[in-house]
Amino acid sequence: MSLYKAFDAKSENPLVLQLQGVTLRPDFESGLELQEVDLELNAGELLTIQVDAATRTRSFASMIQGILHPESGIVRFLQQDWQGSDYQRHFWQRSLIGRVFEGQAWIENLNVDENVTLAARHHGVQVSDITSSIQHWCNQFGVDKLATRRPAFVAPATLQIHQWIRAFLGNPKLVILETPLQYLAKKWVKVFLAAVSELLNRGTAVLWLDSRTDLPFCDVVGPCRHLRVDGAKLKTINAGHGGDNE
Amino acid sequence: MRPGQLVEVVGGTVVRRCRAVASILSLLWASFSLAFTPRSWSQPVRNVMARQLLFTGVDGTWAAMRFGAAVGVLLIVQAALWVDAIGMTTEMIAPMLWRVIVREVAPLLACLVVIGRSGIAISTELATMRVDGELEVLDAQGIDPMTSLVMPRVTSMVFSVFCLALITATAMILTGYAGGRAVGVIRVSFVGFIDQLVGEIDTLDLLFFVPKTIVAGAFAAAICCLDGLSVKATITDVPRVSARAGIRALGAVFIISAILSILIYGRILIFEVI
Repeated sequence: MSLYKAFDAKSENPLVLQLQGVTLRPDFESGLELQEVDLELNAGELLTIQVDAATRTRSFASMIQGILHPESGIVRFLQQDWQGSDYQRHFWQRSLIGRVFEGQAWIENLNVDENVTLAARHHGVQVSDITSSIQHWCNQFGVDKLATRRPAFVAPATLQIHQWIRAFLGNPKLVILETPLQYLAKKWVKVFLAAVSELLNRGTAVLWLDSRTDLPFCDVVGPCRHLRVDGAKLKTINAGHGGDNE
Repeated sequence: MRPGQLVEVVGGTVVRRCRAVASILSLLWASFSLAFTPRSWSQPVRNVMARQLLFTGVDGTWAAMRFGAAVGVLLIVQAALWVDAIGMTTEMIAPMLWRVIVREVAPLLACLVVIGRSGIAISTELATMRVDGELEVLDAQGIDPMTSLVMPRVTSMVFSVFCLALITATAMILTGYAGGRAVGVIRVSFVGFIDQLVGEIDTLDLLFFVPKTIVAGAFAAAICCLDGLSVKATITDVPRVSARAGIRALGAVFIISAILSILIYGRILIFEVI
């Protein structure tokens, strides 16, 4: 795909995600609301956005993926917006984004292992590549093998780890993490941050949406920026890395 | 009601109907376009197609045979009554059976079986997936729900209606013959009976059977998928939407059958259609 090659041929840290003057009004009360927000995220960079515990981030993440459209403003992924009716391009772009969902994340009539590999198989990734990638992340997270039961019969914590594996499969250009550590014990924080560091090292941009304030992001190896949502605006938490939405 | 209001009500109804038909035709166009695009057939899509064919076509075989067998007996009982009442000869039974079965009853029965077993299930499944956010999950992974969910279901329903109509017709003919022999309405041998049937085959019959099963099956599938996907964000809507989908699909099948009969045979009762 030309888009993919164009991205790879860019400079060292190309712009992966760009929001320009985005206003988002969610359909439901607890959704994340934004008012004329600008945001940029480069390859190999971690951007965390801290939200209230009661705020749902699903609409915002879907907007970044072009599934929902903002009330105003432009969202660009790999310098392409989500406008127009070139749906093939839109689906291809989305295939380059990994996502850990908040809430419903599974196709209930498929087994968990089928769910994990579904997108990769649909997009024609070689079985050997899928297998090796799964093996790598299973080793990283201490999972023997993927669960082979329906999601309804698998523990939430196990499902969450499988969500990580699914999001990290292949070589995503952007990973969106919506409360990725929910249901999991503290011991998993370090393991997960190490995996995020590996992603950043590979050049993947990571957008982490969470309400937790106790996460040791200083353990992440790679450039980080931290923002919080304040009155439908994004404000910088860590001034040292320079936020652009003050 | 003022004349203006009447025009508004009638106009609104006509516009809604036209929109509904346009939606169905759009969905069918998209489904068949995707079906004829080789890259649509990724391994997961082939899996969905295979599962749907198994559920709709293969698992529906027994139901189609049972229905066909029962209706075959009903038809032969009616034929026996006509033989007594109006002095029909037994030679007239075979062509009558053939025409009624192939032209009208078998395609309709196959559609009933497919809508009852699979159409409503598809509608329920899609509606539940939409309410639960599973469609968003697919979309977010770059998987087009149209390609991965709708297209394989529509194509498998069309294929299943065609195959089940053949099976139903065969079951009806066999039980019709057996029933006819048992009550003495049919006195020729089985081979002779089949010979008579084969002699009755008309190009129009094939011209009718194939499009009738395919068009009716396609409309039923499209309606079930559209209704399933039209559900709003509450799970309590799902049963209502599924029931509505079943009724609308059945209605569409009967209307399409009637329209095709008129178009292909060019007659309504004794009046030739210009």
